[in-house]
Amino acid sequence: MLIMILIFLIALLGLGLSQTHLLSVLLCLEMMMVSLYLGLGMVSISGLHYPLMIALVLLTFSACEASSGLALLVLISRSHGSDLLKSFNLS
Amino acid sequence: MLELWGVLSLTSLGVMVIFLFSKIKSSFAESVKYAGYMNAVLLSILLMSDESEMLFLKWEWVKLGGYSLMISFRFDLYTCCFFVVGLYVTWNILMFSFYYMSTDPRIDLFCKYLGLFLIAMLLLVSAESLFQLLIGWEGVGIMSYLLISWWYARSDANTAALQAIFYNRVGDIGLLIMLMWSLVTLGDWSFTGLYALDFVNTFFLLGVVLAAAGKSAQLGLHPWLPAAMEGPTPVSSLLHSSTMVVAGVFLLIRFSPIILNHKEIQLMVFFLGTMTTLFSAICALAQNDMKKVVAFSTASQLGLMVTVVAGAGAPQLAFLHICMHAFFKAMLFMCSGGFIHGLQNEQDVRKMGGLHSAAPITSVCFFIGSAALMGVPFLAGFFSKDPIIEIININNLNSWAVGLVLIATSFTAAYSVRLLYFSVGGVSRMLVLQPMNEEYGNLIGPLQRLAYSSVIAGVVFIYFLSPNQISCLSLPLSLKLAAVFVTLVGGLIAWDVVNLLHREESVTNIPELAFEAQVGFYPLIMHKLIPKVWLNMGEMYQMQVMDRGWTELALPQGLGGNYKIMADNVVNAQTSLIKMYIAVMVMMGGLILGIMICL
Repeated sequence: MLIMILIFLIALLGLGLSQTHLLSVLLCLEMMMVSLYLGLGMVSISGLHYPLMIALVLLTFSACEASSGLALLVLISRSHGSDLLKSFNLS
Repeated sequence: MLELWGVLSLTSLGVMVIFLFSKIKSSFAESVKYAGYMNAVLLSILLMSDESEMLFLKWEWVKLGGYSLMISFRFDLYTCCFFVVGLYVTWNILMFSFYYMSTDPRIDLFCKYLGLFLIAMLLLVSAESLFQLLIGWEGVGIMSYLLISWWYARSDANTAALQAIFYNRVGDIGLLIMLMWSLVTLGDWSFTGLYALDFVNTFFLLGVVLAAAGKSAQLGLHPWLPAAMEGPTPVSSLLHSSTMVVAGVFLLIRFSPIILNHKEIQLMVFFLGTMTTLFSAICALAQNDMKKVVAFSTASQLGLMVTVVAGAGAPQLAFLHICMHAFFKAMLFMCSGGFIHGLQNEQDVRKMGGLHSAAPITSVCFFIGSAALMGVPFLAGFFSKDPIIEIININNLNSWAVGLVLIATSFTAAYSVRLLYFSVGGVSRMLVLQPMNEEYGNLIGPLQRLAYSSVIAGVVFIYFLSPNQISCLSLPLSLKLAAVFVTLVGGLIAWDVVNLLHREESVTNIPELAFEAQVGFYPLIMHKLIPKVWLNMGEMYQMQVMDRGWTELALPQGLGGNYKIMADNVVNAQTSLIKMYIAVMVMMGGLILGIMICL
């Protein structure tokens, strides 16, 4: 349970501090989702709860989110010309 | 009877206002003439009536709460006399201006301005309420400005008009002090109320003195009068010799009963008048411009009037001198105008000469006017100037003033003789082919009328209006003849000096930078040196302290600079890169999560 928090935090760090390749952001996002799913699953193993069905919902939503993220990747790389994270600006 | 003619004289004033707007410029001049006649009738009725000495006419004008402003007129001897003299002189000057300004395309406007000025002046002298006096006072000030800057494209004329406005404004402060004080003390602005007071504050009388000094060009507020000669000659002869500049003296005459009860103010006015007389006479000796000499002569005579109002306690003599002086001074200016026009606008006496053969009538009138000014016995000026000098001789205020006034009288003769010698007498120094022509009815008519008046007006006025305040019925012979003697001495010495100069082939040897020629250095100091000092101080303040100085460097640049450096560093965080925003968000999110887990 605690290690999942650690994995979540590492993935968060990877999301925030990545410099190149928008795809790495999406991968870290997936990693965060997976760690949350595993955390939800490990809650039942310690023998206190029955397995939480919300984990399946989370997994579904993570898959949708990944697909929309890939669509965004395509759009962004088309509009900005590259996928270098450092060069994305609001203006 | 008196009231009837009083109302009729006011009607004549109204008729003049109406004719001011007519297209035919001579109709206004005619209305002035008939108004003069009508007021002469009023004056004679006033003189002949035994029981009434003055006439009051009042109408309610504006209601202000519990108090209502009145249009109130006061016709006493001073007013009626001044009406007659002023209207007569103005009629002549209007006729003269038809000659002088005949080639001016704006001559109608000129006559309107002169008419408006006349009406303001008549309002001033017939005012019973100080507020109406203020209206007339400001009116003549404004018309003076408009008329001096008649040729407005000339920068000297604009400067002179502004000078007149500034110095008159300083005097207006005095008038406002009078108004304020009388409103606070009396609640009213009428003369009768002020005469009935048994104590009058020094503050009020200082206001009177300041107003008179500003308007009548006494010492300290005098430079505008010579500068006002930038205006056309009819303006000089109406405003700045006969009519406007005597408004200050008139104010002093009106308040003379109050001033004569107050020793300090009486002494102050006495000295002011004496210094003005002498100073103007000194400066008149050294001027080369004909009109400026006559202007300084006017200032000198004004000083004499002010002296005798206060110092010797004879306001009636001052008023008599106002009337006589109007006649011959206006004529002097008109003669100058005739000369100037004939010599193609040449005003410098060093380039005139021998005009007695070129323009005989004008030069004869010039001579008569100068003789009247000098106080030649039994002309107009003698009947007012001689009693004035006698009274100053026996006054018990100050004896140094006697000496100064006698010196000024001798200088009057001196500069008159000098002016006559340079312009009318002697050998011609002008250009050869001068179209000197004086055969204009509008030039000769007014000159003749005023010449006759200058000769006989003295006798007429003394016969009918002999002042009942002449207190010097017994004088030692030396004092009695002092004025005539001093005039003779001054005239003879001037004649000798001028002849000497002429023989030595230098027409003038007055250095350009002498005391007299620079009007006592007063304009240089007041108009150039003092503003230069203040402006330099201002520039130094701006350059070294405020706008370009250390205050600017310390506060806006210094403190502001610090803030700017800090802001520069803060601004660096505000990139518009998405990555930065995400990074910050993630880090904060992680921080909060960690804190929540630990706690």
